[in-house]
Parts: sequence; structure tokens; C-alpha cells
Amino acid sequence: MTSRLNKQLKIAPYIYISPYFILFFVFSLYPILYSIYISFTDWNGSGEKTMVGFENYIRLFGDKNFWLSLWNSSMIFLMYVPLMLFLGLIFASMLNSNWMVGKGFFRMALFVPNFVSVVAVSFVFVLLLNTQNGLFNSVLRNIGLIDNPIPWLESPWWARISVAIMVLYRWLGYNMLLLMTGLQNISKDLYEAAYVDGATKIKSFFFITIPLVKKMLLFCTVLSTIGTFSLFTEPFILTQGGPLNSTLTPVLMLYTESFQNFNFGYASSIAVCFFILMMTISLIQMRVFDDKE
Amino acid sequence: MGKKRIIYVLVACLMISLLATACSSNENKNTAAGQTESGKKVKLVVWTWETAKDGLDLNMEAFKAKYPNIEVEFQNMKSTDLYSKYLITSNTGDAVPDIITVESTNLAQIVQIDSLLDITDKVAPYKEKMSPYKWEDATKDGKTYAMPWDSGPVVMFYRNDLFAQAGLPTDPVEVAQKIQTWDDYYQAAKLVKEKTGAFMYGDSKTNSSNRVFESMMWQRGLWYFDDQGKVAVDSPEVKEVAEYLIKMQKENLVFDARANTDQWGNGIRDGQIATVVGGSWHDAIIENQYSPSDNGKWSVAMMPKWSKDDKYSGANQGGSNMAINKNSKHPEEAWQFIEFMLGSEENQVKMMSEAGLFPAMMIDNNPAIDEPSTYFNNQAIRKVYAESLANTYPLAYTSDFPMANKLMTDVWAKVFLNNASPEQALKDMADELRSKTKRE
Amino acid sequence: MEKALKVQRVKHHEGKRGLLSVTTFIIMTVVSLATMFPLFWLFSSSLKDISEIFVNPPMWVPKVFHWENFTELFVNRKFGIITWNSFLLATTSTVIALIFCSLAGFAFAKYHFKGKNFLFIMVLASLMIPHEATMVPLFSIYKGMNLIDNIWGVILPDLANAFGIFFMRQYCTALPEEMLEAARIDGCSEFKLFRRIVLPNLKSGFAGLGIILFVKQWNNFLWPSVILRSQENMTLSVALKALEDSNNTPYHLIMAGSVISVVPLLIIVLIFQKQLIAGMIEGAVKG
Repeated sequence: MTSRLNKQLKIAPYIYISPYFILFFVFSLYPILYSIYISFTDWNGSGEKTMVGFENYIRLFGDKNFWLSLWNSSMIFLMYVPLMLFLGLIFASMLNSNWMVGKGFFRMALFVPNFVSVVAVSFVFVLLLNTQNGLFNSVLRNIGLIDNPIPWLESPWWARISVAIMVLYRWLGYNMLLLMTGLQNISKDLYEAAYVDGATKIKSFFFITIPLVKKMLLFCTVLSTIGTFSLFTEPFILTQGGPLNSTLTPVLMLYTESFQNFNFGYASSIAVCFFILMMTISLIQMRVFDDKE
Repeated sequence: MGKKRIIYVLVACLMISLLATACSSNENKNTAAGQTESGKKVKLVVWTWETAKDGLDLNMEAFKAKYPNIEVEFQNMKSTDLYSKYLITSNTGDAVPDIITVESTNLAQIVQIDSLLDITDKVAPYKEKMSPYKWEDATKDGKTYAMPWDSGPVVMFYRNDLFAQAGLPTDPVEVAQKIQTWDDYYQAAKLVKEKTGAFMYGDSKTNSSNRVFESMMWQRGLWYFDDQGKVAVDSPEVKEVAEYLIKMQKENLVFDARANTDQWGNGIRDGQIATVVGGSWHDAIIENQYSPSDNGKWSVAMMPKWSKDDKYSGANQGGSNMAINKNSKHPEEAWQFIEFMLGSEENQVKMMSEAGLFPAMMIDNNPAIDEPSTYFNNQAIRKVYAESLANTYPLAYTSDFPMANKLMTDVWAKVFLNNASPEQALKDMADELRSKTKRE
Repeated sequence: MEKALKVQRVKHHEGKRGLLSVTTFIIMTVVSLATMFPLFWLFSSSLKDISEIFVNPPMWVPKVFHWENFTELFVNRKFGIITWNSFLLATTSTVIALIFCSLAGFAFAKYHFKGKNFLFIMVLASLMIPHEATMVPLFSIYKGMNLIDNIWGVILPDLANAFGIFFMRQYCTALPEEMLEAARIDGCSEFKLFRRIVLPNLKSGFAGLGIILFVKQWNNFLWPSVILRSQENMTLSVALKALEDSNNTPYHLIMAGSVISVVPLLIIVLIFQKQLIAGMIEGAVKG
């Protein structure tokens, strides 16, 4: 009886973890290894694979669109992340004050864009950002801020800004929530003490709040880095990566090369580089956060 | 406890749904097997898009009456989505769809991937009946893979009221006299702009569909590639055409919106666009979609030529074909469908008269050609189409057309956004095209 | 004297608070309205005719509600089955993932077994493999497995969920050791232990993780759009994109379809909002 139970105690954990590992091997590990293999071949997905050595990588590193996709992601990152963290922190501290009314509602209102379908939100933005008859331009023109319509989706920089606006819109609430948890760990006494010592609200925001949520800000930055380099749906629906590939992202390029042009070999070399990039960011993230804990 | 109940409901739904999928997939297999064995009802899946389906719908009743055993399911999608999805299909060897609609622009590309059924024997009786240029893109190594449907003979649609205000003639014959060359067109554009404030045509600076550009090339027998398949976009003739269009844009004579988008359509609706130089199928778009209330305001004339002595004055824009999936389980029925829709003059004429699809089939003697169109000022607009078609240079789109078209869009964007010189931009494009297509 | 001054200051502080709180309240209201606005525009546009979508001046609320946009979707564009597919996909994938994640999470939390640390590091490392990088090989693997154009092709790769294991491990660690021991002493088998003792105690973990997974899968777009191709197998996100047409995109239908995709989720999230927010925070911070 007991030996049977003991035996169970030994094998049970393996059985429990086996579904995960089987699925992980079949649908993650094997594909990523296979991906590395494909990246050394020339393959259209159905015919024969021909080994081509490093040819795909040589082509990739010489492909200006690949570098452009990384540059675009970095630009989009710079456009929205600092602003998002700044606004997120301000809104978080507002909602965190104990005299704030309607916290739950505001928190939810800011968070809603995060879980509403990206495809749906992207299409709404397509309507809103339309140059000739979009709402944004109509309103801006009517209140006299602009004379000529802004080419939201038709000039490279505006297109990047549009994507950044949409990403900001979707992720502000989420980051605000994370920052709120960071704020909740700060003792209220600190603020009271600062106040008594004559510090203004603004001063205490810069000298107490920001230093104490530094770690959380860093964490949000890392998440946003991963998120920005993996952007797909927003540029795919808003601009199809254009104009002049100004909103092409690595994942969008991977998608086009694989499932539209059927260059599976070349696409795989993009996939491998993307994998290495993501892994590096994750490793940095782990380093940073393990040290401090 | 409300939440608990919701969880139970969710779980219950899950159970039912799992059962449902299990059952339904069995069911599908059974019925599919049953169909082929008993030969009772065959279901054809046709991938197409809205405007094309509107044409087919006109003949569906008659088709159902003739072939009661064939059930047809249409799946509408964006044509570019259709092609990329069909590429995946061919890659996975799927039996669905049975039939696809393919624009001539993309036909050669799809034929290249060897996933269409060889229908050389089936189309043999129709070889002489269709406009010859249509077979170019449908053929690879002497075998034919698609049946021509419609053509898009390019003509110039113009607004009578705007032309009148600008002091231009409005009668189609006089217009054709007045605007014979592209230079005449440019002069007219300046008048229209000055007198009415309207733009001569619509095209985007940064996201151009290149349609006017391609029509201008086509009528001169120029293309992205020359007749030996070499890249030709950096030739002086092509540059000349590009520079003409850049001049039009720079002098602000062009409504800045990609052709056939909603923004462009609004320009048509609001009377901001004076002409549409485009395929005949634009008549339905103008009449039904964007400008239904402007009855009598539009007329049709031949499009301008580069120089008065040019032999060809027409061009083609788009036009579609139908092809059968190599892996279709019902190739015979699929051909019956295609032959019924596209092989009969009567049905083609119906699609022409009621859905604006000008047939690739040559029907010059059919009385429907001379029918006046109420919307277009009682003009016999199809006569103009027929004339354009008869004067069209026999050119093929070629398999690398989609890529060239996309790169061309970037050429304009570089010129207008980055102030690149047209010469350099075209040169860069030619180089990129050479390296990507491995052409000379 | 000094003390009096401080008291005075604090009192002054109280007075200013009223003003400050009104200001912040107004700011937050404006911000909330701004974030809700695109949703309002979505709902309003879904009831417009196509000719009313791009008009100048903009039409805030349609004069006549064009409910036929929805009828068109359900009657002619198979949105009934498509909505059902989304629901089926999200529910199935969530429930199975919850079971697998809680099993593995429990194993890593409460058992000592050979190779545990190594295996756990592997789970950790697997977080670094982005889904996007496996699309190409997965696609060719799927061809052999008949998983293309099959909803299971979307579900299966998402079941190996390392994040979910972390998440459930947190909850399992919190289970009291004595409770498990007591059950074992009573002769309870390991599997019975999991089913009878562990599962019922993980409810809040399930709610938190479940709602996150459900939302994620409901909105899943990239991979489904690659493999789901026929209309009767599409999910809402994929079907919305597929509504685009070459010559004229029916934005009114896309907006109506978006409403169909947004509303059920909005309802579910409002019911489970506490769990969602708690789960999101926990997942992000600890995972």
C-alpha cells in the first residue's frame, strides 16, 4: 500500500509535467531548431531544399529593409515609451492617492484598450486617421490647428507616429497598472514627511516617486522593448509596412517573406535573428532583475 | 456565486463544442465521400471578390437550372488576399477552392507555381474567340491554365460640367479632337484647375497604384520589362512617361488619393476629379458606387496618346480570368461552371450590360455594343471600349509584374518624399528588380 | 510656535486637497473619455451606411441606425459560425491550458524529483522562444499533420505555456503542506489528491490565468490568419481582415464585425475584471 503510494509520489510529477514538455518539444523546440536548419537552405515550402550555407544571412545583413525594420522599431519605441511611462506614472499616482474618487472606473477605462481586439482597434484607427475624411484631421482643421490635412498614414514619419500613437493607446493602461503596484509599496509617510518639510507635490513626484519606482519603470521598459520589436498587427493593418517601408517591423518582414513571397529559407534567417534578439533582451532582463532581488 | 455559474456554463459550452467539432468533422467526411460516390450533388468552392461575384450572380439562376447537381459556394475576399491564400493552398495541396478568379495582373505569377489545372484542350474551341493578348499570361510552356473573362480597355471618363466650366468641349467626338495627346491633356488639366479648382485625375504620391503610368506605358508597347524579358524601367522612354506624371503632380493637378480607394471615391463624388483614365470597369464603379446621383455628368472618350502618330491608342487595365485548382476533386464540374459563365456569348453580354464587365470575348457584332447608356448621357460607351480594345498593344503583364508594380510605388514616394531625382529612383528600381528577379 | 506652524500648514494642505482632487478628477475624466472614444467611434460607425463612414463634417451618430450591417454579416458572411469558432477556440484552449499548467505548476511547487531544477530552467528558457520565430517550420510541420485550416492548429502550440506554469506554481506553493500530507496519510492517491484537494484550492488562480488566456486567444491574430483559410474555420480577428475587398473595403461591415468581436469580450472582462487586473499584474511582475 505505502510502496504503491511512494511509487506514485515518484512518478506523479513526471506525468504532471509531461504534457507541457511534449507540447514544448513538438511545437516550440523542434520548430526553432528546424528553423535554424531551414535558414541555411533555399526553399519555397514545398519543393526540394537546397543547402546554401550562409547565403541567406549574407543577403539579410546586406538587405537594407532588414536594418530599416530594426530602425523603425527603435524609432517607434522612442516615440511612445518615454511618453507612456511618464503619463502612466502620473496617472498611477493620481489614482493612487487615497482621496481619489472613482478609482476602479478610471483604472478600467484606461485598461480597456489593452484587451479589446487589436484588429478591431486598428481598423478604427484606419478610419480616424484617414487623410481626407478622417475624424482627426476634420477636428484639427475645424478648430484651426492645421490648414493642410496631416498625412497620418502617408508620410514615413507620420506613419511611424501613427503606429506609436496606437501602441501608446493600447498599452498605457497596462503600464499604469504595473506602476500602480510599484507605487503601492511606497510608504505614505514619506510623502507626508516631505510635505511637512515644504516639498511641493511636483517635487515629491520627482524626488520620491520616480526613484522608488525605478525598478518598475525599468521592467516596463524591457516589456515594451520586446513588444515593439514584435509589432505586427498594427502596422499590418494601418500601413502594410509602408510608405517606403517606414513602418516595416521585423515580424512584418518575416511574415511577408514567408507567407506572401514563399522564401522560406530567407524568412527563416530573419526568424533566427529575431529569436536571438529576443533572447538577448530576455537575458538582460533576467540579469537585471535577479541581481536586485 | 454568479461567477461559479458562468464557469459552469463555459465548461458546458466547451463540452458541447468539442462534441460538435468531433461530429461535424465526421459529418463532413461522410458527405464528401457520399457526394463523389453517388455523383448526386457536387459542391464547388469559388474564390472571388465582390464585383466579380456580382457579375456571376446574374447568370447563377440559369446555371442552377442547367446543372441542378452542382452547388456553388462563393467566398469573397480582397484579390491580393486571394492570391496569397491561394499560394498557401497550392503549397499544402488542398482541394479547396475548386475555382479561383485571377486578375491578368497576377495570372502569370500564379501560373508559374504549377498549381493550376492544365486546360489546354478544354479552352481550344475558345482560342480564336478571345482577345489574343489574354492568352499570353495564361500560357506557360505551350500549355494554357486559365480561361479569359473580361478585359479592361482603358478609356478616358470625363465630367461634362467641369469640362464645360473650363471652356473645353464636352461632346465625346470634340473632346477626342481637343485632347489627342498627353500634352493636350496637361493643358486641359491646367484649364480645369484654373477655372474650376478641380483636379484632372486622382493618384497618390506615396501609395500610387501606378495605373495611369502603366496605361501610358502599355499604349506605347513599353513595360517594366522589354520583349526579351530584360528589365526596362531605366529606359529613356519610361523615364519620359514618369517625368510627365511627376510634372502633373508637382503642378498640383492631381487629386492625392490612391485610385479605387474610398478617398478617391469621395473625390469623384464631390466633383473634385475631372477625369478617370482607366479600365472600362470604372463605369460601374462611378455609376453605382461613388457617384450614383451624377446622372448625365460623365462621358467617355479614347485616352490621349503620347504622340499623334502612335499606332496604338488603347491599353488594358486589369481584367480577370478563371482557373481550376490542380487538386480540385471536381475538375469536370469546375470546367462546366467556367464554360457556362465565360464561354457563352449570351452570358458574357449579360455580365457586360449589367455588371460592367467588358468581355475578353470578341463580340463586336453583338447589338449590345451599340446600346446607349442612360447614366452616361445616352452615349454608346461600349463602342469606345471596343475601339480601345481593338487598338491595344498585345502586351503581357508577365510573372514579375506584381513585384515591379510594388517597387514602382516606391519610386514615386522617393521622388515626392525624399526629393530623389526620377532618373536615380528608376535606376535604383531597375537594379533592385534585376537582383530580385534574376533578369538582365 | 513651530508646532503650531506645522499644524497650520497641514490644515492648509487639507484645504488644497479639495482643489487638487477636483483637478485630478477632471484630468482622469478627460483621459478616460479619450480612451473610450475610439470605442464609441467603433460602435457609431458600425451602424452607419458605407456612404456615411468618410464624410466631412464627420457624422457623430448615424441618422438612421443601419442594423442591416449586422444582418449582412450573420446571413451572408457566416459570422454566426465565425463567432462560434472564436468562442470555441478561446474556451477550449483556455481550459486545456489551465489543466496542463496547474499540473506542471503543482509538480514544480510541491514535489522533489530528479532533474527538477534543470527542467524548471528549461521552462524558464522556453519563455525566450518567440512564437513568431517558429511560424515557418510549424507551417511545414502542419502540412504533414493536417493541422492547416484547423482550429487545433491554433490551440496546440499555445498549450505549452511556460508563463501559465509560473503563474500556477505561485498558487500551488501557497497550498499548505499539511493539507497534502493529511490526505496522503488517509491513503489518497496522487491523482486523486490533485483532483480532490489541489484543484478546488486553485480557483482564484484559475480565474486569473483563465481570463488572461481567454482574452489572449480571443484576440489572437497572426498565427490564425496564416493557417485558418476557409470562412467556416475562421475566427473573428481573421474574418475581419478578410472582409477587405480590392476595390472598396466595406468599412461599415468591418466595424460591425469589430463590434461582434469586442462586445462579448467586454462583457466577460467586466465580470472578471478583478481577476484580470490582479492576474495581469501578478503575471507580469512575478513571471
